[in-house]
Amino acid sequence: MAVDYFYPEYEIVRDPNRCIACRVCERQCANKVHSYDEASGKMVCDDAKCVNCHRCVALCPTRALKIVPSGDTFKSNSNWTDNYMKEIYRQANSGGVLLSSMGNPDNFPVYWDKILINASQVTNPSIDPLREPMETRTFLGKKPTHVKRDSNGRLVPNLEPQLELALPILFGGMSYGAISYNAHECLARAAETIGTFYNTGEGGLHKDFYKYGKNTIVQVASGRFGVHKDYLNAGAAIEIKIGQGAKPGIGGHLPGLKIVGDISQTRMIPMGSDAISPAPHHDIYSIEDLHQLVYSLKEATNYEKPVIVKIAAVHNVAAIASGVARSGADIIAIDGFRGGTGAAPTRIRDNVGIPIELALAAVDQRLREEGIRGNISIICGGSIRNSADVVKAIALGADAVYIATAALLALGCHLCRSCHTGNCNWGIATQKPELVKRLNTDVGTEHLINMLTAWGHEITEMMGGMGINSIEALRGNRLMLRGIGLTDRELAILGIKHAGE
Amino acid sequence: MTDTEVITYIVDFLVRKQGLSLTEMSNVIAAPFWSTISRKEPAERERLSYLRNAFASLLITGPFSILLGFEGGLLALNDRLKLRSMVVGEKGDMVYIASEEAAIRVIEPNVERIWSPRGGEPVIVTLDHLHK
Repeated sequence: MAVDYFYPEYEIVRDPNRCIACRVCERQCANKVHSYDEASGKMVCDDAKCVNCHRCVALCPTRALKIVPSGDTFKSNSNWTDNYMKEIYRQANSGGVLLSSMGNPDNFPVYWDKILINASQVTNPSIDPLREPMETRTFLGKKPTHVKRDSNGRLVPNLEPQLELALPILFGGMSYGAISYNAHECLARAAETIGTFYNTGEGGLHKDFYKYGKNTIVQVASGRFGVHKDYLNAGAAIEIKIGQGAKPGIGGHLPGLKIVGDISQTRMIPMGSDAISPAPHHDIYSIEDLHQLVYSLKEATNYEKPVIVKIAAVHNVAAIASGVARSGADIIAIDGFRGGTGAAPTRIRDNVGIPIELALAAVDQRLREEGIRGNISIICGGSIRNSADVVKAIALGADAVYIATAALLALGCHLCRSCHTGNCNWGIATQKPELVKRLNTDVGTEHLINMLTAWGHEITEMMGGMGINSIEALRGNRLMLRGIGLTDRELAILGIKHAGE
Repeated sequence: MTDTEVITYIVDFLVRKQGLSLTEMSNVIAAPFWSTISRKEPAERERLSYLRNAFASLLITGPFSILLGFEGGLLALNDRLKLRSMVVGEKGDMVYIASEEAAIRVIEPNVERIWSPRGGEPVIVTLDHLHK
């Protein structure tokens, strides 16, 4: 065996008493793990090809399959873990940069799990959301610094363009190309039904989806793929993507293999050519340059649409956000280091950036101190996993949150983290027609709507418990939060007290 | 800061610094529900939506019953769900405000008009000699 041979990470356990050799597993696995052995009349499998996506487990009609860690290990070493050793073998063999998909899986602190939410008892009564009105409607955009009146003393509505959300949750940017046509259709239809927005990512907008424009955020990223006047005017808002939490400081790369058919047309690049987004926007080297792009986009869309600037959560995020708030942008989106990706260099994904909880608290605090919090709304993302994370994010200062990984999970993603292979068995992160069609758009849309509806119920339950009947009264309300097991420094940055205080 | 101090600062910001009227200020801190706003006439709907959106962070959702004194009068306001009680009575040119009707009747047994303002509905009382 060669030095770069690895014993399979997972072992497929098949119960021979249950298996009826129906060959569903064989047909469902794009990685070609399962096969039928004519001689013995039995199913066999090659564990080495398994990515643990659970497609075969989920579709086996007799529950004959399960996937378990194989248990093979090198000599135990806390410093040179199995993973670090394997990565060296891989690089010694290939000379290449290691690639990974989805968010940072490493054991960094998840601050959401160290924050607890308040509830009212006696003095400030809790409110029953089933009996009393409970409001989750949120507007994103600049707030006026002063009111204006006409000659009769009546208020003049001087609000700049706003995005109205029924729930403070939007779908984060995922490009057509990184995810499938069917996945995009599900996101668009769910956003329309719920009354929120989905985001094109940097892949342009397929012509079939222009009809969902009033629920679409169109992205302008450093590669400017698919950007033209109709595209900018098709959406409800425009997002300038400066950075992404999973890979701060670098651009994007969609391999030519995925630039097929409609994707090539939508991105406006030749079939089969790699879509490489540069690390910076080549026309933005300062806040003043950003200001120019913000106003170019506003000019192109007649000042009718809010402009979002999306940045990755990095060390100086508060100062950067302060600059963005002065650039003319209406909304800032901050993406934490656990945020997902279709493909990122492993070293960058796992080592660059900071947690969204700390970044969000620091940005909200800084903008308040500078008296410019009203200049800009804040969307935060980078691993919002459930409704409690949403409530905590809003209480830490967010106006709304982006969810993307959670949305993919609702569509069937099992987080096998193999998006970059293009063989997604669930029809999400693939462009192979036979795999894409596995994602039924009616079912997928319904699942997204169900998830958001469920989160909405949970959010109003938690708000009611706190005696808060409108989401805007929760925003930045850090007294509703307490830390558990956090240091004084962490509590100071989060701006919350410790449990018991 | 106490709740009272916070509300005082909010009122000062909205009325003195932003120049809102007392009614507009009440429409911000005890804003009507969106469902109520949607049933208003277009002009009123636009006015209430604007105030709610522009000053969204200053909505106070907890229970309160406040009396605000200003030069030449006072304002009484309940939270929008009317979780706290407030009753207003009148006799002649006198106005009485209390948590319970009984308290007003102890002070003025022959009160002529007595009512409970709705949550978020401001009661503004001004001195005649200053406002005539």
